[in-house]
Amino acid sequence: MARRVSREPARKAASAAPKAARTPTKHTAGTTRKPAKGAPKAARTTIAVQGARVHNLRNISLEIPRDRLVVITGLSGSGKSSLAFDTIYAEGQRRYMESLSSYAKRFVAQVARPDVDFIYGLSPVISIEQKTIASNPRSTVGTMTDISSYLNLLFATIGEPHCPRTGEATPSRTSSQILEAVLSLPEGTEIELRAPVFALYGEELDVVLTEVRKKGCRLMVIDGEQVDLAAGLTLDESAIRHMDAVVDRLVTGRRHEKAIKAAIAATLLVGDGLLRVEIVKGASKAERERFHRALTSRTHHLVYGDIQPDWFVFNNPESACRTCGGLGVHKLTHPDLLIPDPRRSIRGGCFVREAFRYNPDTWDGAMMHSLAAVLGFSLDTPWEALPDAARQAILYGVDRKFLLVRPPEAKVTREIPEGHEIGFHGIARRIERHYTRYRQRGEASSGMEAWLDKVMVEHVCPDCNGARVRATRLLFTIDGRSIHDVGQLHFDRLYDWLGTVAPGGRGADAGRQIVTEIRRRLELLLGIGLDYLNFDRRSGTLSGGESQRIRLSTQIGSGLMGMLYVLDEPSIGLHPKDNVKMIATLERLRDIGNTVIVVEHDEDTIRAADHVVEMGPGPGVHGGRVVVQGTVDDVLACRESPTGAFLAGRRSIATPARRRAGSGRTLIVRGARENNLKSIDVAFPLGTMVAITGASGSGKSTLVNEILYKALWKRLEDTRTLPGAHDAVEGIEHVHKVVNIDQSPIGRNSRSNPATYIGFYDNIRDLFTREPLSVERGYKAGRFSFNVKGGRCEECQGEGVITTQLYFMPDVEVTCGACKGARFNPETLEVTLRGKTIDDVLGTSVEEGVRFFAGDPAIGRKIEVLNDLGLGYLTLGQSATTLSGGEAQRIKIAAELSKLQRAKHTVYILDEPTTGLHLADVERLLACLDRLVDAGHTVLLIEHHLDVVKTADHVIDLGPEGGHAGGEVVVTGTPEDVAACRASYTGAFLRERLRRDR
Amino acid sequence: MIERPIEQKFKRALSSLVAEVQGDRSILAAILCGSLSHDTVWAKSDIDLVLVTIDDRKAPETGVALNADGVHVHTILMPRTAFRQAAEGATRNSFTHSLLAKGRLLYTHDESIADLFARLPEIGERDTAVALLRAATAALGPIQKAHKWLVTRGDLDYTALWILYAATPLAQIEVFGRRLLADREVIPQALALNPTFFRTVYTDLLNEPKTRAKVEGALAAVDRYMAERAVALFAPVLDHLREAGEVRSATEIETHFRRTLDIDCVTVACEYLADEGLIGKASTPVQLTRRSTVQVQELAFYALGAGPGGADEWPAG
Repeated sequence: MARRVSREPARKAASAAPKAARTPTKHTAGTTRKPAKGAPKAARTTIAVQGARVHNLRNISLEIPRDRLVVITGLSGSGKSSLAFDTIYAEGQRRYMESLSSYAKRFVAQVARPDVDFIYGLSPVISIEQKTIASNPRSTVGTMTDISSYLNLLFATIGEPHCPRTGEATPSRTSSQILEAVLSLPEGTEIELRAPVFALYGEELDVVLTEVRKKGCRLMVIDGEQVDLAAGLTLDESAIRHMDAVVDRLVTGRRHEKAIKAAIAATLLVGDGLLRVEIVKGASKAERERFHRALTSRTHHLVYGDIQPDWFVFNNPESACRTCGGLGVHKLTHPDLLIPDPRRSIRGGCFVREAFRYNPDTWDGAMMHSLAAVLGFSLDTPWEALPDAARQAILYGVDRKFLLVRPPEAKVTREIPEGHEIGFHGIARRIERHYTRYRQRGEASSGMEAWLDKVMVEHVCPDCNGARVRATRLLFTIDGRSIHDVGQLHFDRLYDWLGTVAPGGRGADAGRQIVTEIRRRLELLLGIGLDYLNFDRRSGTLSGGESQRIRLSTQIGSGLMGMLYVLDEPSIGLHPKDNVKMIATLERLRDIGNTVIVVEHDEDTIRAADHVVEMGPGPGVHGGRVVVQGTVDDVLACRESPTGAFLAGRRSIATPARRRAGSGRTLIVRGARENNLKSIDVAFPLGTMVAITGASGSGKSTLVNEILYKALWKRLEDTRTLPGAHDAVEGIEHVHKVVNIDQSPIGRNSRSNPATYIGFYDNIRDLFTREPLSVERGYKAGRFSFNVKGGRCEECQGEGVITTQLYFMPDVEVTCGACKGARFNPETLEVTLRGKTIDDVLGTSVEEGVRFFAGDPAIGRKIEVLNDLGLGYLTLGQSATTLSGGEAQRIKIAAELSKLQRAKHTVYILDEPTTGLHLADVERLLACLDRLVDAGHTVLLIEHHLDVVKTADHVIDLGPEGGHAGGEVVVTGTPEDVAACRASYTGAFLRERLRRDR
Repeated sequence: MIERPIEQKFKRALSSLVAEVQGDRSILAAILCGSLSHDTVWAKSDIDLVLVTIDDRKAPETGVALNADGVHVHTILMPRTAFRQAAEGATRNSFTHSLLAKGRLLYTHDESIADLFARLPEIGERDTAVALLRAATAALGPIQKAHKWLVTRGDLDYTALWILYAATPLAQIEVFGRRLLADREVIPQALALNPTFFRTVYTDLLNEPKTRAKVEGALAAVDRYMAERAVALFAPVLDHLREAGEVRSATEIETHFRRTLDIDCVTVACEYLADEGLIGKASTPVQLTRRSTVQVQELAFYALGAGPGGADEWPAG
């Protein structure tokens, strides 16, 4: 019955569809259960997609079983993501948005309706993609997972407070409890409510006192002396020990209850959660002692009041460290960044332009000239040849003042008063002052951050030491650990430690509950191999895979059921040993009553799936159909399925018969100790394909990207680059170029395409300018560009489409009425090259392009490389925004292959290049990389994919575990050597793979 | 002294109102402010009354126009905490402070309010320095305008008008400098304290023909008055630059004073001090926008020598 009900609208929709679309391919999951007779109407057991035509999908229809773990697989570009994300997820999201009011819709980005006839059986849908969390420095693993909130709650509930002055135990009470204690004093007792004040972390005393005054306090008690803030203050800041602001003076008694209550609140505000009750007169010594014993600390009579979880939040301006504003890091200038070319002199422009430019006509110029005269250095001496004292003085200033002298070469007569004595604190200090002021204003401008990053490097905040919060927050401890200490603990250790916490006192019951809740969430994180992370880790430093897994754990932690989760390659970045845990997590998500759809190529995940959908058979125009769907056995049995062929062993990536020995030269990183690396020495044989393997978090990316790549880049390209901590890199002289080929887009807008990226579009435009009509009309190459005025359609400015923004509806894109999507004006389109207009050429597929440009080797050769890399289905002018990460990466490799220089040695670095690639794509990728190595270059791969690792010439396995238990070289050598190593996790999995291949 | 009928009427009205509110236990104190407390009332006057209320969410700070026997009583209801913050936190001689300090405590049920009220007339040195810097900075603008109109146009009337604009901040300087509480109508107060100067820059300019000699004389007197006091008036600026020990851009100086003393437009004061030779004028490179590719020079200043030099005593009146 359920099936009949679900098909009825399908027929209606199909009959309304155009003829070509009326015969959709139907694929049924075969899992729809027939309800028992007389039983209540059963809920849908499938998600039915009817007539999906998004991107390259060929009007497909299929049913996917609900409450199952479903893997959608297929070649790169075959339509997997188009089905999972752009159809199923997009429609679910759109329907949710539909349910919002028009008012609410104004505040959220609207999702366009996907090109699909209908989808039945959708649940609320959540997509967990690979995207790295935005680089907001305030986002941490703790905030991402929400566990920070639980930790804040835990510290507010069972944290043991300490006195900021003596460190002794200090009570924490609610303001009502403090009020009751005050009212328990004999009626008529005169009390003074004081708030302790601290010039924490080198804050200017003036600023602190101004703040106190603004909060309505005029009197302070500084080291026992009463001070009037309205009067002139002559205080020796360094000698001050204790400061209290006198907030209010009151007389106790029930009739003043409201005034006392308000005064307590005001005092806690000034004292940032701390309060001191001074009994002025009216109570006996015994009464005073009893009062203080019951309410306050022993020595300074302090009490914490109304400490809420918010008090521990570093993103709360009141709680954040004043120096770093809660970021935990502080920027300082770095000489290498300030002086990119030390071979230049000051006059020759050795400094970054924005930091200092010598101009004798300016005040700065006169000052530098005067400094040179005083210290006896020349402005024409290269920076590297200047005496150390002079360099220090220029960057960090001089203690004494010196006479200002106008440079003799000054042409402009400015008001430079010669003969005045001036002080100079240095160029570096000036930038740092500027930075401090910027931070104090609390601004966050990406432009400013970019400029600061150009000349400054992050250091741990010198004041809070990375804790992000004000020092008073660290006075609350649980078993001797502050909230910062807890945030630093790796999850495995934190989990164990929380197991030992035994909450006591008033908050014991609540504390136990919170501890249980945190441990439960930690279990989920540990279950997906994230034991090496900690809560203070910045989100921006996580890999896409780590971010995805964290979000996944948050979802499981939410305990929702009946949801539809759509995930993008959760296996990426996971060592095979962690992948097992990830699969178990996905199964758990399913078992609590959810449908889990995973776009995945990983063999183990596919084998674990209840249902597999394979898209294809080829990429792009050759794909977009469902090749097979069903159980893994169904896929194995399908002869047309590339996945089935690989899984069944009919096809495989061959293990090379012999390993390349390389050029005999090596690159050696000495003493690598950035992050968790344990001062290791690692050798990379040149002229080979090297795979760097190891558990997640073992230090692979740190070694290759942070140290080796940056050290090479610094030497070969940009001296301002700062590699991670290491002693030396030997053998750089053998390398002429380093290229990092990642999966980032080849361009950020629709104007970038493979032709422009690889560079053969210029050649194509030249061919067009040589056509007789172009010659006759005098058309230059610019005429055939859609980026500049002249030949492009001005109606759409070369976009081909016109986008209209609607108020609370999705943006509408319509084909340009003037050029009909051709992007060029009619005059330009009159010029043809062998019968094709420039628009036709851009719309030509790579496969066809090879034939079309066969007679033009400069173009044809480059297009052929694209074709060889399996990108024949792309069009030459395909917009960069429509390319997948895998496609973008292969286009970059194509660009490199098309400009290979045999005499020069290049090191290519690829971080997980198999992301988004099917085994068939991996096969092609390896063939491309082999071409690079065969041409004498070196390829370094950070990879977990065993089919890639086994084909490498040399493997460097780091570990043995992630985080603190990693950072060492476990084994290096050929894949066979690694497989033979019992201590290596990679070795164990590789052993199995090599055995199977044999 | 015999009271005028209008004054009697106002006092009767106030007495009857206070008698009523005194029975209200949520009103802790009544403070009479404005003309009736320290000045002369007339028919169009109203009564300014601050009623200190209990601290209660249901009794927020607000204003209400009451009718007491036909007299408009402009009443400010101020919870005790807000009153304490205003009494203690407001810079001495600021508007809020002046309003309360010139007032009269009519009654209170809470002795701590009486204590706070009693401390209101105390004027500290730091607050005086801040108040003087504010007043002096405010005076510089009109003084410069007066010079401009005299030099560029020779317009005696308009020059005189600008000098008169400067008279109020100059009068504040006179009163603040003597650590006295300033009235809102401060010129008569200053006229009594320094009649020679204020006759020249105020009374004579208003009443006598504006001859070139008179106007120039008034302007010279103003310049002299400011120059004699410059070190004391601008002491926070001089101290700041001395502590900085090197050149500071105008933006940095403005930011510093906004953060520490809540004062704006200090660049004007720096320019004046540089013209007077008390500090040095320099420049620092700056990019006007984040996208700018050229650097221009921003005004900057620095301290001269070991100290500002000159007398830092307040000149005798």
